[in-house]
Amino acid sequence: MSEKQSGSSRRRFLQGTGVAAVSAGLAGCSGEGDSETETTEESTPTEDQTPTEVGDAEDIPEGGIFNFGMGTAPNTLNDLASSSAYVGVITDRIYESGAAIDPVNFEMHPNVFTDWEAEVLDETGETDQPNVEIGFDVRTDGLTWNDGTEFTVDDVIFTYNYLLEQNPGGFAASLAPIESVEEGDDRDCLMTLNQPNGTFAYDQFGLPILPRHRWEDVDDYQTYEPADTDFGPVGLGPGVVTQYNPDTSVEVSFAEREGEYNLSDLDWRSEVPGVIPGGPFVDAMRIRVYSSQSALHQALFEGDIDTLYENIRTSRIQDAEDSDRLELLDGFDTGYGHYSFNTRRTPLDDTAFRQVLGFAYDDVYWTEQLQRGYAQEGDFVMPPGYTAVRPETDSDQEVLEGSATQAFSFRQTSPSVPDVEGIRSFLTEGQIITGEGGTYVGQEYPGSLTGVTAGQSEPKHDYSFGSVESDVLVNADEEPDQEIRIDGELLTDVHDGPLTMLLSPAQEAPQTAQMVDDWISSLRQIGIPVDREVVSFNTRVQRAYGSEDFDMFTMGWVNLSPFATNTLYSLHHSDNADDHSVAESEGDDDNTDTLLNNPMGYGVFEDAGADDLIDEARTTLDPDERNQVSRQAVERIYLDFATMVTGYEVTKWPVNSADWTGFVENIPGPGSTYLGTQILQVHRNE
Amino acid sequence: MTRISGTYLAKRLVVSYLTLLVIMTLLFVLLRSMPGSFISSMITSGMTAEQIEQIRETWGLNEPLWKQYLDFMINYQTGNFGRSPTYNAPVADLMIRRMPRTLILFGATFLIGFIIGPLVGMYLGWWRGTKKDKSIFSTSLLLYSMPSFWISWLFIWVFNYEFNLLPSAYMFTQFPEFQWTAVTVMRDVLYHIALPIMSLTFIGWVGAMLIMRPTMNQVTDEGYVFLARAKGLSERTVMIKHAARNALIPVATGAVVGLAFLIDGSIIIENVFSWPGMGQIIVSSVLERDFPVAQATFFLLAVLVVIMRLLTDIVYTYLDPRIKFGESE
Amino acid sequence: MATGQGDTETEGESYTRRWEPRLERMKRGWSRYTEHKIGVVGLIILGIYTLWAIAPSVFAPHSADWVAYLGEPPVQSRMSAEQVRSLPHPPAFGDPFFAPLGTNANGKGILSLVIYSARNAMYIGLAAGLLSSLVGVPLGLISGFYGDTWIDEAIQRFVDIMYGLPFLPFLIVLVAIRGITTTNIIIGIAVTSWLNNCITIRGETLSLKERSYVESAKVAGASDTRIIFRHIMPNVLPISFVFLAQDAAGAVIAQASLAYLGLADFTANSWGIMLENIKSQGYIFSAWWWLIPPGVALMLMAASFYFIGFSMEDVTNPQR
Repeated sequence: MSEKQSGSSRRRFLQGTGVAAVSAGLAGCSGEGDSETETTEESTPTEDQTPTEVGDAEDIPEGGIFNFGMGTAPNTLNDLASSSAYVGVITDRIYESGAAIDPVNFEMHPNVFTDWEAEVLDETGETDQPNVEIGFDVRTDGLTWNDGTEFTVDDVIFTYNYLLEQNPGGFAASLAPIESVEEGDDRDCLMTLNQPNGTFAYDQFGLPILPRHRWEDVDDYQTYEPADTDFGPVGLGPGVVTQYNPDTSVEVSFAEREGEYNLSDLDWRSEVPGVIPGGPFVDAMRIRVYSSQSALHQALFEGDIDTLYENIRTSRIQDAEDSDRLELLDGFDTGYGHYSFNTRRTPLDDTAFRQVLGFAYDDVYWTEQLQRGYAQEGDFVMPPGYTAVRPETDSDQEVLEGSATQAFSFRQTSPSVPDVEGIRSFLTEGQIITGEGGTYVGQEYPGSLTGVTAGQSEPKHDYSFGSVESDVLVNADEEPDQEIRIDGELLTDVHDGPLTMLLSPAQEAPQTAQMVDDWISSLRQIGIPVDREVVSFNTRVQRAYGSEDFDMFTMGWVNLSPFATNTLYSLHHSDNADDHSVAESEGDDDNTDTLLNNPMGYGVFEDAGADDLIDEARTTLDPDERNQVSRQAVERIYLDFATMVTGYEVTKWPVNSADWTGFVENIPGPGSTYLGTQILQVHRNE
Repeated sequence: MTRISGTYLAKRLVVSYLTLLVIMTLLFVLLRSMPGSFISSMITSGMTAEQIEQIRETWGLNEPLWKQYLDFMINYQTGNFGRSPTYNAPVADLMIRRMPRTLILFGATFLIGFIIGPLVGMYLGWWRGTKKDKSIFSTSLLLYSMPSFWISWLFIWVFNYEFNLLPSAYMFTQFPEFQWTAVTVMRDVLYHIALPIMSLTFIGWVGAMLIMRPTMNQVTDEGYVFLARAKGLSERTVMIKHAARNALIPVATGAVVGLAFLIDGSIIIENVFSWPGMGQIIVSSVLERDFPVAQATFFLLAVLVVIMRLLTDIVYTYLDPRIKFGESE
Repeated sequence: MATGQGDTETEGESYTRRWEPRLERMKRGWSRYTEHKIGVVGLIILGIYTLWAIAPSVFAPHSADWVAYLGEPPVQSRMSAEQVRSLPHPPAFGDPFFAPLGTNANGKGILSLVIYSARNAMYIGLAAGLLSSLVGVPLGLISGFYGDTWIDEAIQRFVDIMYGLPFLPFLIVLVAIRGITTTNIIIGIAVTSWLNNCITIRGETLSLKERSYVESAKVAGASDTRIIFRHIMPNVLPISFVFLAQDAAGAVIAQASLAYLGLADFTANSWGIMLENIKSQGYIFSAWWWLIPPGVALMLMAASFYFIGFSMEDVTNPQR
């Protein structure tokens, strides 16, 4: 599944992904400025996911060249102009940011900035919310640019002002709240935000620090190519680019860096379990680019590369397990796969109808057969690794397994056969899962975990079943015996044609295509006219996120923020949705072609939305309370079912453990999101 | 030698140029009628309308279509291919980097295919109707029927996966232990190009053979062949020196067909073998709606084809004494 | 020679007069055709494929919906994790199920899929071949008949331009514009493959129109349309069949290439899609029983078209 969108401003999107979705961080102000205390404490991972470090850490041998493979070419070394994950593999070794997140506890730690403190001001800016002043100190002792130039506070001030002036698209959301950054009196720098943001250390301090001596003369960031300069990209990171053939190979050398790199020695690193301070230990990282997944995997098995980006493909897991040289490191998903529904359109405007779409989704077929057990069934919009913001926390139910997470699981009469009659009567009897306990289509539901209820208390429409009339169903192989009527009318009349599911060409996501087929087949058996339309990823992004011209579509998110608020706001708040009902009467001003992350229109209409809870979470100061409200929002989103979470990936990251050790396991995205951590600590196996 | 007159040449040149202009127009229309726009990949959530406007401005999308068309026509003829949004680089640089790699693959395959093909075609045409002819001819048709990617997979399987004799990706050794000298470069490229060329020529030579075989067969009935035989020359000498020489003329013109095959083949082969040439980006640029790159690759391939057609026309005129163009005698 | 005067004769006479020599010629052609072994082999292969296309269920061990371990639909159970992991399964003869060419990663029988895919390939080959003949032959006829006039010049320049557009990339754009369906793929292939057809037919027409019977028809006042379709077309049709066969072969291969690049309708049962699947699901080098059969089936289908085409060329070749 390479088809994911990225949900974080600092992270990027994967091949085939047309959009780097970023979240405009707008959350409660952190109580204290100190980064160590403001973070989510509950986010300690569950027991079986305790990060472990492979091998032991004492007496770390240095040297060696670590070979890395990826299936897509990096297209530039300009960190501002690109949001490609494959560019990040290189530039993340070059650039550093003010604060760093650790992959184990998801806490923000000092990095280039040593400490910081935020103060809510009385004055309000253009927004209704109070301005916030953040004072922070910059680590200038012992830090040099990788070309040997001295690093000063001036560089930091330049960076922020340069970014504000240029406003590169990928960083727009993080830059938007910044009013100004200037030299401070007590502190090295003062940053003013036009609204409170509890996660500023993640958002605003996550921007790359740029060298003034390099970028000062760059008038247009888009056309600058650091690869064309004599030294290559200059940053505070551990690496320097020593070879750059973007079509085939890139070398990032750590040994040839001018000046010391000390950021990996910071105290916090030795306190996080699994993290080894003092890296990088290898001399260089060599990146090879392959034009196909087959070639990439073949190179891995032949020993040309020690590991590859992100994940091993399912078909080669067995081979990797049989290999003496390779080891598969476990990790978990940083996002989720989903089918999303356009709540502006009848009958998708009705929660009861949408819930039926969930009953028809055979999650066992997905996880066990198509994904061969390397996927977890989906429920909430926060992956199972982010336990602090999952509704199961503070309840006695197991993560992913509890019956409150199974409200919309597949309803079957015998394995893999949908319970057509049961699902039909759910509709005809006017049932809806609101959060109250009860039996729905033959399955017990204990009631919501956090006490929230769905926006609707009863179905919006009156459903009945009659003879099969629409073309889609008449010609369907499934040969349903009845067809649905909505308020007495055919769905194809109410909706102007059958419901259409947008999906990728099969070669981009073969399993997804099969799953959609299975789902559509179940729906047709029930008597719901559904069709499919194959469109390329970019077209789908445009149709769904740009013009909201769709009924249903499938896609996925990765790299969501572990501090739920950002993600919830960005993906499920009405601020990030176009309201097309307004457009038709008052002109097109309210609707943009901008890619908004909430194409469902969730929260735009009264009867389905979690705006209140999300807003509350964003303005709640206490991390515990914030997480609690977030959990409620997550469950409300689940019950309203505007987006159906279809599953989470079980990551298997292959590494050459015969020669290398020092990897950290059981973290989210071990070979992608937190690749940087791995590179900093990988070392030779003695 | 003077059969080709200046006027004829000039006329051909003008026609070729006009053809190119029409192809360019067609390209412009075709690429713009594809759904989707390449800037969608540059627009991210949270961008303001002004920012999007600016991106449109930067890539010239706000100009009226006729202006875009005019700019395109003028820029291309002055060698200004614009900038690629996905590669963040001038398209010309990209082309200069990738074109030679494709040409090496092209050239080598072309050469080998057009040596083996006519030779086999000569042999089969000469012995047409014999058992040898029939068996070799039908086998070669079988080869010609293979999907090129499939045969490449089989070759990779045998030569790389099972026996690890030849590399299955790239043009050079990445991060070599040895020093780059003229000799090592040559050796290294040969080592890497072996499998792609094998895969391409395995199928490709048949095209030239198919042209050579019937024409060879025709010339066997010509008077000068009888004459040569009557002179008591050996069968071999007659076949090669007298018959084949004349039968080669249509093969020369058939080179255009070969070229078309090569373009198709190289798209597939470059993708299979991670060969970083033009074929690799032509598909991705179309799918990713990178119009500047797609336009430029199409354009260069079209230029190649048009030039080849012009050349073969001239060669044809030059070689064949029976054809006279534009010379009033 | 049949001339325009045939109009005044009675229906029956005209029929015999017109068709007898043609039937005679066809008979002669057939006996010359059968001299070519490969032509006969091609016909046999194509015959088998035709049978597969018409009645796949007779030849395939299972239906295309059959799934290993679970059997024919309606399926009322699931595979165990172990069973899922055994897929793609190598050839099995009854234990644990019958799949003489093994299964793919989803448990579908390879042999059944190969047989059920014949229809798609047949359809694409013939439809694209016919369509390109329908474009190429009339244009070639018109171009040749009006040789050296502006009509001819216009058509020939158009052909020149089309030659300048590389085939596969052009096809990719066409499919990208119109969407990935089998019909669009056929149209795309036809649009790009009628060129050779047109040029050859033109050349043939050019020489035919100099023949005496065409001249005499002209003198007798027959209209251009009548001359083209009544007198010239029947004589170029055999050649156009040669091209039809070659175009059909080209179309079958082109469709596979498109599938490899991910531009084919994946819901269809097709050999190209089977190969695309083995690539995208990553079993190229670990499931030979899945890799070899679709390729061989494709190769034989294209080859049979070529065999037939080249044998027919011999028959129609006036020089022999």
